[in-house]
Amino acid sequence: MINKTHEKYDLINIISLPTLVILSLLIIWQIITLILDIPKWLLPSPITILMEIYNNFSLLIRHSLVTIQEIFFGFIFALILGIALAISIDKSSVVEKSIYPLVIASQTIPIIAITPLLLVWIGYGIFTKIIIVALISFFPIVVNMVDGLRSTDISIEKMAITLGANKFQLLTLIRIPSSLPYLFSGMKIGISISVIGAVIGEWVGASSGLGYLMLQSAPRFQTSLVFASIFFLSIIGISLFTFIQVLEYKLVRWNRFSNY
Amino acid sequence: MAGDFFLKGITIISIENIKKTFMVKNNQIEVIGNINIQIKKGKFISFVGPSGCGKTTLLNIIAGLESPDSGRVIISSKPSKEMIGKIGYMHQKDGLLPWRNVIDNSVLGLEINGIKRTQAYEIVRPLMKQFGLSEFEEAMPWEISGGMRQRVALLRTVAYEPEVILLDEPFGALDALTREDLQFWLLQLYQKLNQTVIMITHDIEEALILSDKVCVLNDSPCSIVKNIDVPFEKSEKHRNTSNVEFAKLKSELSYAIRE
Ligand SMILES: Nc1ncnc2c1ncn2[C@@H]1O[C@H](COP(=O)(O)OP(=O)(O)OP(=O)(O)O)[C@@H](O)[C@H]1O
Ligand SMILES: [Mg+2]
Repeated sequence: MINKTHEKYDLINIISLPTLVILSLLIIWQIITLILDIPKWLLPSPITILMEIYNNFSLLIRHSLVTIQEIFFGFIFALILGIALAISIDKSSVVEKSIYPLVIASQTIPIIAITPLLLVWIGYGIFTKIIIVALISFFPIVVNMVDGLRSTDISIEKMAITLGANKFQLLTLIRIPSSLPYLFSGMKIGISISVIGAVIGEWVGASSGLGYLMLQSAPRFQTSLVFASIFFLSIIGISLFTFIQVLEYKLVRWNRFSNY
Repeated sequence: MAGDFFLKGITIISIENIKKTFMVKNNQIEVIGNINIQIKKGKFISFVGPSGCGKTTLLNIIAGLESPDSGRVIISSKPSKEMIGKIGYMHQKDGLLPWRNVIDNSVLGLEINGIKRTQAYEIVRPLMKQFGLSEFEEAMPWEISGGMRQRVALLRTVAYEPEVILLDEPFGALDALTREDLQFWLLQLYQKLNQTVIMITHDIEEALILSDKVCVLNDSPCSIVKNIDVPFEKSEKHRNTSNVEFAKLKSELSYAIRE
């Protein structure tokens, strides 16, 4: 009972406080643009941006769908590969010693630097962006999943061994479930930077997507369209993040109680 | 009848000259120094001893989870390593999987041994009832009390009916009443299935209530300093703790521990 009311209270806090902060900022922004009479191309007011969104809604949705697709497929790709690699790193010390350092070293290469290469090799299509998204979100997923697999409680594992569990059963019944809280942490970081990955991909070379739309609008001084794109990007980012968090709540709710 | 009698005479667990040392910060610490004991099928043996004397280590070696430095453990004429998965071992920590509810935790052993979940449910449901857990089938481990957690762990250990059961302080930190209930359950269960049980406990009275034989262990290194055959009948459902002879054995054992 106590937990329930506590959660509700938290939820109200989670939603209402940031909303309040954002609303006040928007109002201040609106007032400043009015008082100082700032030109629309330099800094559009929130109301102008809202009008822009209303007038270009189908355009924004069309480009959003492209970006969402890139994020979605790239992230799924990273998730499957990341989990598979994490399991092999955990299972085999050969893989751990030979591949894990490379995965870590690969993080020192800025994604933006290899994007032009990917364009040359793969082309301007959606597939290039999917790969960029996958590359960028792959790392936190692997690292967290590996840590998760290694965090398995030894006493639980011994218990399963005495019940007769073989290697495969230990992995599926014990190690993977206990790694899930870590995997979700990795997924939350991964999905957040996926959005960045998609935009970078679209900046370097694309013919659609919100990143492309921003890049097209800025030189034409359609600043409010740039803001509208940013708004849509953040909505996409927040929604995906929230989706993973809800999934986390459903699947690893036990984690918060496991010390009891 | 004769066959039954013969079976009871068979040695099922043979612990032969077990020694074990641990390296702690470059110091060799002799934890177990030469333990030797034969246990007959269908018997209930208790080890009592002070905290930290090496009881869990001994049980891990018997279970085949750890190897002794010298000596060996033979169970059903096989080295204990080969018996992993066929011996029921209730560890000191309950080790319930936090992501599984009570009934799914109870069937883990059956599931690992290849029995389908739905079928496993049918097997554990009567036991759940006997253990007073029926109403908590769907509860998560953090939603039940410490005593219930231990019951689930015990149920998980006995559910696949292993011939040999090892119990490491199965009723550890429980209040007297719950403890008594659980002891009673264990006694009934053990009588019905005629399993061989090795139990570790701090509690002399508990040892006398449940076992056929009580071995007293002492410290550094752990070895058997006394062993007593308990003369009471198993069928006396709950052994009479106010009995004169019971009291005599109890003081004899506590004297041996303090020595
Ligand atoms: N893996 C290990 N490495 C080093 N020392 C160990 C290890 N396991 C146990 N020991 C040491 O062996 C001794 C006996 O430990 P053990 O857990 O067997 O005691 P116990 O009799 O079960 O204690 P308790 O009654 O508190 O459960 C302790 O001094 C402990 O520090
Ligand atoms: Mg112990």
